[in-house]
Amino acid sequence: MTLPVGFEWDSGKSAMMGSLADYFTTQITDEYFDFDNPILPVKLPGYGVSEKGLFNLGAYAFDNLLGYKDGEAIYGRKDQTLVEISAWDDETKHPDAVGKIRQMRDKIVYVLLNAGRYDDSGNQILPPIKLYDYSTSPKTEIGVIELDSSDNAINEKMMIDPVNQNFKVYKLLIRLFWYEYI
Amino acid sequence: MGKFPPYQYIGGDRRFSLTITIKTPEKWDMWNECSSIFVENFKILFKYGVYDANKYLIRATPMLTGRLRGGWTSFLNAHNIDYSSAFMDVTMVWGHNEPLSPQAINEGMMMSYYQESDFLVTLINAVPYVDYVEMGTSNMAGYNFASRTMYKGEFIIKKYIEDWTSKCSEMGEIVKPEILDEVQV
Repeated sequence: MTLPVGFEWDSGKSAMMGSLADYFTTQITDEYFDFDNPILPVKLPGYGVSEKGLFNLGAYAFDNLLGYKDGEAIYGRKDQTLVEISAWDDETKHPDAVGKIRQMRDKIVYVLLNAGRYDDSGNQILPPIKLYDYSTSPKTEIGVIELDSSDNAINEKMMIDPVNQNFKVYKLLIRLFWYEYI
Repeated sequence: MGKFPPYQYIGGDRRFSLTITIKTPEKWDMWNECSSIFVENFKILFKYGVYDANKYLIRATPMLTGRLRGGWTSFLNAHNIDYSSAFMDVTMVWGHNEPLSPQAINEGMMMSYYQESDFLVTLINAVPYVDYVEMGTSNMAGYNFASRTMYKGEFIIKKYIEDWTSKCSEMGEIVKPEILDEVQV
């Protein structure tokens, strides 16, 4: 038995990163994103987003209880990965490059912390990050992505690029979980 | 409700006196003894977890001459832990075709430091370019070996605790933790 030609895992990392890219570009419309680029983005100021991976065999199993919807238990598969999001700018082109990358950092953190959350008045702050299966047309919702809720969900560092010191960068390494409904 | 003074007046202070009598002191002694046995075994378990996390860190660190990997070895050397298979493993980094440089490895080892207490181990790699390889630059992707080890370390310790507590539950007493296969963890 072999995998069918052109096999795509509809809830694998490909779908997860595609869904994440879709969400970022929908929510943050005034910044440039360069996806799957771990180095300098082709346009500045801009974000470089790349997946780093964090695989733990057997850490998460099928049939996890994900929560309840309308009183019904929802079970699914929980998986995780590390994603690096870097906010870059060039000081020779934008004198306040450091201020700019801090603002870009704030946008990403705000989006990740508030996705799917509600304020005290019961209004949704930002929609949740949905996991989509792109092999169907139109795309179908098959799960949800969320930021790890523990203390070390986001590791960040502001750096001056050692190769070209005019480049300023805010690097965020985040742990994301994604849940596939079953 | 019966009347009784809620507190005893001594001078201007209000104090509450309470006497507790343990009717089963042998159980108290048992729990007291358990506590120290638990702590002693947990110390062993923690060290095993750190050994494995340290080996994973070596495995996840990129290798060319071996200097950078050498910078993570002082703690394992001090505890006589064999890390040779992790040191030579290139499955998590780029393919390595050049022979390792014993001189470079030695330089890395000379720049490897650690601090240790019962439940805290700090590893310091003082090879000058470690930050750039970890975080990347504008023309080189970061390898994030230290960050990845931090997350992996959580998992390793969790796995050790799960295995140990299962074994204790099975045996009905606190047993010595067993060292796990680092690669399988």
